Amino acid sequence: MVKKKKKQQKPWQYKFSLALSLLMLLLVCGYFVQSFVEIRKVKPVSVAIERLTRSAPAVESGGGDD
Amino acid sequence: MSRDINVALTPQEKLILVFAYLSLLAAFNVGQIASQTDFEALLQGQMPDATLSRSQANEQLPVVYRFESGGELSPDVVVMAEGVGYGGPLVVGIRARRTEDGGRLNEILVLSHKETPSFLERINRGKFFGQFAGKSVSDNFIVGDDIDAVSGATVSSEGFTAAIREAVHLGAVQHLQQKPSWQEPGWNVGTDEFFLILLFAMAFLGAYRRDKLAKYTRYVVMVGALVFVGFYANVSLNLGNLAGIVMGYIPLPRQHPMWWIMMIGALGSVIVLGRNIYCHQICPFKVVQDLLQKVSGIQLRIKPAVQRKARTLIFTLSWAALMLIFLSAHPALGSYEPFAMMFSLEGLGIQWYILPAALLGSFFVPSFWCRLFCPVGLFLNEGVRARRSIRNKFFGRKKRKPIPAAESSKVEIIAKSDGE
Repeated sequence: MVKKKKKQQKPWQYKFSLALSLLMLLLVCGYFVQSFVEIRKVKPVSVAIERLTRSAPAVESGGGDD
Repeated sequence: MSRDINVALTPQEKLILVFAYLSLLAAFNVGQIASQTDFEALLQGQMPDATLSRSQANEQLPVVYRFESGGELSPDVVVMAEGVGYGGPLVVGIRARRTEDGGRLNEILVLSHKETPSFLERINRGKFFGQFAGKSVSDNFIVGDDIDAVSGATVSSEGFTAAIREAVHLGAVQHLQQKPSWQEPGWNVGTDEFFLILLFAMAFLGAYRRDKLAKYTRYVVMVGALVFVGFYANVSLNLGNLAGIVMGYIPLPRQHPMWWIMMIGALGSVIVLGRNIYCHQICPFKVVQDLLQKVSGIQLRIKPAVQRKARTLIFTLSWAALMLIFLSAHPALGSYEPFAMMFSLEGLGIQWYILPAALLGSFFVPSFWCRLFCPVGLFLNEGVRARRSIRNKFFGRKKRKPIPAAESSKVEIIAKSDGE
C-alpha cells in the first residue's frame, strides 16, 4: 500500500491559522470583560406591563384572604 | 493530540488544578450567597405609596400580599411567584384588581431572571408582556392557548407565563374568592419533541453501523441538526446549560421536554455508551463548520505545538466562563459560544464579532471552533475519557482483536494524520 503523504504546509499558513486563533481568543476575552460589566449593571426590577391601576375600573371592596 | 488522562501530572500542574477547582467552589458559594435577594423589599420598593402585608397562607413562593393604601384596604392583590426560564429560575410580581366581572391583571414586575439578555430584549420587542394587560384573572394563561410565545424565545415565554399564571390564579383564589374555572396546562409534548428523539435515534444508528444506510442516515441527521436543532428550535447545548445543572437550574420535564431530551441524548450517550454523539452528529454548529469547509476546500492546519495546548486553552476559557457564571449565578453571562447568534441572530456587543470570527476560522481551518474553543465538546469528551478510565479501572481493559497487517498500516496513517 502506498503511504499517503500529506502536503507540507507553508510557514505563513501556520502563522495565518495562529493569527485566527489569537483573534478568536481576544474576542472571547473581550466577551468575558463585557459579561463582567453586564453583571454589575443588571437591573433587579423591570416593569413588564404598563401600570394601569389609575385607569382601570375597580369595585371598592377589600376582599378577604388567607 | 491531547494528553491521555492517565498520564501523571507534574506537581505544578496539580497545584494549578487544585487552585482551579477550589476557586470554582468558592465562586459558587459566593454567587449563591450574593444571589439571595429580598424580593419582598424589591416589590415594596416598586409600590412606595402602598403597604404590602403578607398573607399567612403561603410561607414560600408563591406568596399573596394584601395591598393597603392610605390606611385602607385596597381591592388590589399583589402576588409573587416563581417560574423556570431557559437560563434558570425567574421571579415575577403581579398586581390584579377586583372588577365587576371578577378581576383583571394590571401590572407585572420582573423581579429576577437568568435569561440571556438578548433573549429578554427579543421578548420585550415582541410585546410579549403587553398581551397580559387587562386579562381576566380567570383566563387560562397557557402558551399556545391564550398567550402567544415569542418566536425564538419560546422557553423564556413559557417560563414567564407559568410564573404569571401561578401568581394570578393564586391571587384569584385566595384574595378574589374565585372558583377555579381555568384550564391547567398539560404536557408540552408535540411533533418537535418527537423529531428530536428521532434525530438522536438516527444519530445512534449512524454511529454504530458502517453500511450504506448509515451513510445516508448521517446526511439526514446533518440536515436535521442544522435546520431543526439550529435554526428552528435553537436548542444547541452550551456551557450555560451544563453549569445550570450544577446550580440546580433544571426545568420541569412537563414545561421543557426538549431540554430533557437533549440532556438525556447528549449526556446519556457519554455515560451509557461512552460516545460523544452530540458533538459529532447533533451539534448544528459543527454542521455549519463542515459546510464551510466543503465550500472553501482550504484545510489549513494548526501548528502542532498550538494544537497540543488546545485542551489547556479550552480548560482555561471554561474556567473563566464558569467563574463568571458561578459568581453571577447567571448561566447566560458566561456562555461565550456563538450558537445563539448563529441560529437566532441575537447577540449583544462583542458577541457579534465572535460569530464572524468563528465562521472565518472554520472557513480556513477544519472544525476551528470545536478544536480550539468549544467548552461543550471538551466536557463531553472528558466525560467519555473519564468513563473509559473508570471502566478500565473496575472492569479491566477490553482486549482488542488483532488487526490484520494490511489494516494496521492504514490505522497507522490515520493515527499520524490525527496527530497533526
